[in-house]
Amino acid sequence: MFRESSARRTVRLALLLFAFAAARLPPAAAAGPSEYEVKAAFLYNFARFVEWPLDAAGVDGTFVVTVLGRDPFGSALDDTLRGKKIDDKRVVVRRVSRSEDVGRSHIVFISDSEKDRLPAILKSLDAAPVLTVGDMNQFAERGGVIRFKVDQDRIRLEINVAAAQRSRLRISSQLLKLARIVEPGMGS
Amino acid sequence: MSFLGSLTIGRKLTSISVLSSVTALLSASAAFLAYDVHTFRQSLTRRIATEAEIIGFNSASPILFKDAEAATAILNGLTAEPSVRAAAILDLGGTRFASYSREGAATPLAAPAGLPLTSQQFGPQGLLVSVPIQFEGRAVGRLLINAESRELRERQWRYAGIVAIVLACSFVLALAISRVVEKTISGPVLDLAATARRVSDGKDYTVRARPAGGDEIGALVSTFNAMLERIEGQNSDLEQARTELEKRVEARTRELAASNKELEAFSYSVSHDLRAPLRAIDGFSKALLDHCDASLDEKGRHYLQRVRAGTKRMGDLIDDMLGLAKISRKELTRQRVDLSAIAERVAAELAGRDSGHRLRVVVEAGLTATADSGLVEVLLENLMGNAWKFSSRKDDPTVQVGRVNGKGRVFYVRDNGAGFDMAYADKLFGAFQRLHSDAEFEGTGIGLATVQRIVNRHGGRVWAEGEPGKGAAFYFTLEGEA
Repeated sequence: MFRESSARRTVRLALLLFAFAAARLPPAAAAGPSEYEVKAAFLYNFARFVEWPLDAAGVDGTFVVTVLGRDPFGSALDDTLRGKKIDDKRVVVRRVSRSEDVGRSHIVFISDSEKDRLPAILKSLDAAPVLTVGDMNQFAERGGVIRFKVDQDRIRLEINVAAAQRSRLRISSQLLKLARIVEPGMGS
Repeated sequence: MSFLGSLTIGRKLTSISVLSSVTALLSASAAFLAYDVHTFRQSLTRRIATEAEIIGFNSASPILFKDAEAATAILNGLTAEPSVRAAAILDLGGTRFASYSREGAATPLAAPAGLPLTSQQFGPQGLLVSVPIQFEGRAVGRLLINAESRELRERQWRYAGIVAIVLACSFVLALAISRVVEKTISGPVLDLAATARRVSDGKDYTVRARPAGGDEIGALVSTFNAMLERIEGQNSDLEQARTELEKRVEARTRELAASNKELEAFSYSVSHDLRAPLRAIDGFSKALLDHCDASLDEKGRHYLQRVRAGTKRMGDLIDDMLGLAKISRKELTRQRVDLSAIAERVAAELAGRDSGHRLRVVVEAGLTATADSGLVEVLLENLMGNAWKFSSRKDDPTVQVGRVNGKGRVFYVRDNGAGFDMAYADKLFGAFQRLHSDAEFEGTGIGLATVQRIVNRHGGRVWAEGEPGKGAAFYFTLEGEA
């Protein structure tokens, strides 16, 4: 009983918080795409500007996008990638909470929730042909390949070219020219 | 070419050569300019299209990653192409994503409604090129580039300047050339014209045009000269013939005048000398009648009467002939003559002679002429006398004197008397010519000859119209018919 009522309170609080958050959404959000809708579209675009090594091709002819940790996209990622194809491969979205479950993915979005475990995650993916994307602080400097950085309502890109090379990914110059190139170990 | 009509041949040649050279040059320049504009536009279009291709390729990722700054930076690369005025990257909905304009002057570029995604067109603003921005074979946006053909305009101005200079040079050159040509073509023609003018103005057929070359003008000049020569020859022949003729006429006239004078003197003296024996015959006949009346029987008396009548008639004839001669010799003095007044006077005299008082004379008022009044009186006396004479047997003898149509210079004397047959009209005016016997109407046959002489001396004309039994009309003029 007690556990039950505690759980109900938690749910009620979550609903309240959700309502509060919904109320705080700026009115413009209704007109333009939200931050994560844009990020979802960017994820799709990355796939078009990055070349994976041949052995990274999915066995079952799918292009796998994995969200590791708490998913911030909501339905945006599924909506954006639904029915899309990359190099004639069907795009599949997976959500995992542990880096061991990442498996054969082309893109891994490492959620902000995993920021403490980042070195371990990156280490587990080391040299695997995986494009790591994240939006946590210092993501690129710490060894991630592409970081979304929100700057004055605009999403800028930071790319760690060395990390990409280690993962044997070829990033198009068209993409590179839009991004800030980050050397590993820059910053703190 | 009617505006060239009044110019001299030289001017015409100059105008034609200048006109044709200017026309040729202008049309050639126009063609070159059109070709130049065309090729320049083509090359501009090709250049801008290539540029657009490159920029479009580079703009795909900025659009996909919504990086307006990067897109703007790419567009700013167009600074290197000075003919580009403005450029813009639009998303598929037509919203401007990034734009570029040289010197920041032009208003932001927008796609005209209905502009195809791929198009190249020239408008008042210059060249507008639109290319799709493609990624993986799909359009993700559109690039618009507006290139101004300022360079083209500069070229056109430069071209126009060159054309103007060449035009001026060729104008001067054509002028100079035509001056030279003019000397060889219009020189002889002008010389010919001057000669022709001298000939027609001065009637001088001795001049000759200067011989020209062997062309058509040369042939014309030599033909003209030959013609002048022939005219000159004919002229001198004509002149000679005329002088000869004049001389001959003069000689004949002199001869004629002399014989005429002789004849006149002869007839005068004959007439005059005939009078003396006539007077003797008449005088002695009368004396015989007076003194020997008793010794004469009726028959003898009658014969003597016949002798006397004969002498009287002969005397009348001589008088008339003397009168006719006098008329011929009398000097003509023209003055204003009142024909109406003279006719009235003659009418009064006729009325005095007319014992029966039956004669009616109608004279139109205001008949005047410039003539010799003495001769006019003799003329009217004869004509009206005739009229009276030949109408005297009518019940209502009427004589009219007037002008034809009441005006003009043709006068007439008309009667309602015996008239005459028009078949003999040409015999009326001869001396001693009579259409009627003396028994019918007495007369000498000199009257109408006198009339004709008077009219002739005035330079006029006389003629008659008549019909037997219905009267006669005599028409005359007293002045030469102009």
